[in-house]
Amino acid sequence: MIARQWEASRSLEWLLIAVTSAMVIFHVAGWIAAAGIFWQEQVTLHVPRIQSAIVIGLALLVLRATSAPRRHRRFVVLCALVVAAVSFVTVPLPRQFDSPADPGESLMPSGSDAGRSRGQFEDRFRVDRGDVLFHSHLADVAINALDSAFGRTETSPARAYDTLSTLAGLLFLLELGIAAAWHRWSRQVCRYVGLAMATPLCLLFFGYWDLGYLSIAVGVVPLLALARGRMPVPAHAAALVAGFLQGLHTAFHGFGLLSLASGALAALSKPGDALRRVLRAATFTSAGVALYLGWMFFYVTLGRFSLIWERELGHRPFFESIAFENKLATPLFSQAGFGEFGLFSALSGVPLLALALLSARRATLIPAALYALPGLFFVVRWWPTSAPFNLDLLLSIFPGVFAACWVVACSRRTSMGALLLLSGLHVLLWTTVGNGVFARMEIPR
Amino acid sequence: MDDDGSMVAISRFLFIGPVVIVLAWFLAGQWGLAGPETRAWLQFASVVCLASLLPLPGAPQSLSELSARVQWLGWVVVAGLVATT
Repeated sequence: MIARQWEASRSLEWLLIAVTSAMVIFHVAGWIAAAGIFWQEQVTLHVPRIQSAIVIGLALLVLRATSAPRRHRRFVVLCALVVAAVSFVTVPLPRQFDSPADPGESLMPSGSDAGRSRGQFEDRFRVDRGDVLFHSHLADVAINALDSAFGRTETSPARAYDTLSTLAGLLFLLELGIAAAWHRWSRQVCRYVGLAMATPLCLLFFGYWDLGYLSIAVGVVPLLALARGRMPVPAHAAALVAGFLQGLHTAFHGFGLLSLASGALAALSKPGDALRRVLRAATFTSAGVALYLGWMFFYVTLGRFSLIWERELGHRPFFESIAFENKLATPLFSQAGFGEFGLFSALSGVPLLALALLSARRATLIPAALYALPGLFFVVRWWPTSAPFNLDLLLSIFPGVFAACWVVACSRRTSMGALLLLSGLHVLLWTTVGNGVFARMEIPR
Repeated sequence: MDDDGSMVAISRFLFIGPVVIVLAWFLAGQWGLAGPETRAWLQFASVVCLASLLPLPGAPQSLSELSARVQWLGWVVVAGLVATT
């Protein structure tokens, strides 16, 4: 009986690895198609800007320090976190890309409109009029409170966006610090801190004016790793805190639902018997949902707000082009559509999962594969209407990148390889925005 | 010059060469004339060099290791400078 159960579980694990590998191969084909389009269009390479240099440099310092004794690496990691926090404020992202070919290209088009015009800001954030948009309800309330604190002037929306980005950056670093301390500054968690800081997503904390990236909870993956530990009470506490963190981020932006699904699936993985695994997943999910939707009670009872849903998620068609918000969505099975999918997949960090699949043991891959699967499927179907400039969503649609970071952080060699790969993704990101690759074309009315 | 002498000279050139080239580039006033890509490259390279060479507590590095790293990084910086100007 036990032997049969073990066989079934082993077969399931192999099936999961096979499905994940097949999906990654599909993504690799997309990267090749994207490279072909880059070649055809003679895209010029752009050097990553200073913000990329800072996060990659700090990651390199942290990775170098992981060979040191525990107290020394704790010191270096804490210093790196502090330097990152200071640079989030002192080295803001440029609003426009300084390309000689197109000096006016905005890096954050929708945020720039709302941040520069009081009228557009009030059209987007209607908390004062009693309406909260459901897809980013907590971020709407937070940015409105910041705008109010800054006096509701012509310049206060810009200050509110900047402050929200800095606060999100501090939360990102705090989560990394908590995860590292909870793991007692182990070598793996210190490498994870370095790699997470080097992800292109970290650039958005340098003052990006939009909300989508608030959905990412960087502390969830290492906390879920603790939740799979042998001691029941600390494991339960870790699952609960991971769920709360993910719920909070999902309240900031609905794209966090992807990470919530990813975390719930990863919580189901071994070790432990079936009951323990289901309880772990239920703990994570219920904590997540509580902090995602619990705010509604306060909105309705204290704020007298109405919740509004007015989002239409763009989806990529398979064979025929269709129009979304007056823009043409190219089908997946066309050269342009497949290349575009490949580029977005690469930018979101799927190459790191490919590295993890190639370099890690099967046992460590199972939770990472479960965590990555929802994002892998979502990237295929998602069609962003203002790509490639809506970096907040492009860089946060694949939360599996953090699960991959955790897996490759097992060894110094794979961590260094991952850092090199992440540096390449920074070059790809700046090249994409600098050339406006796959920029959307308006359909004439 | 015997074999040992020429090896030492090559090694010194590999070590000092990039420093001299970058210094000469700055002294020639090229920073003021440089485009955004060149400036971005030098900013990027200097941050990465600093992160790579900074001594860390508890992680000692030998002089030969440091020298090899300086040589390697130096020539990468020069190659990037040539490519972006």
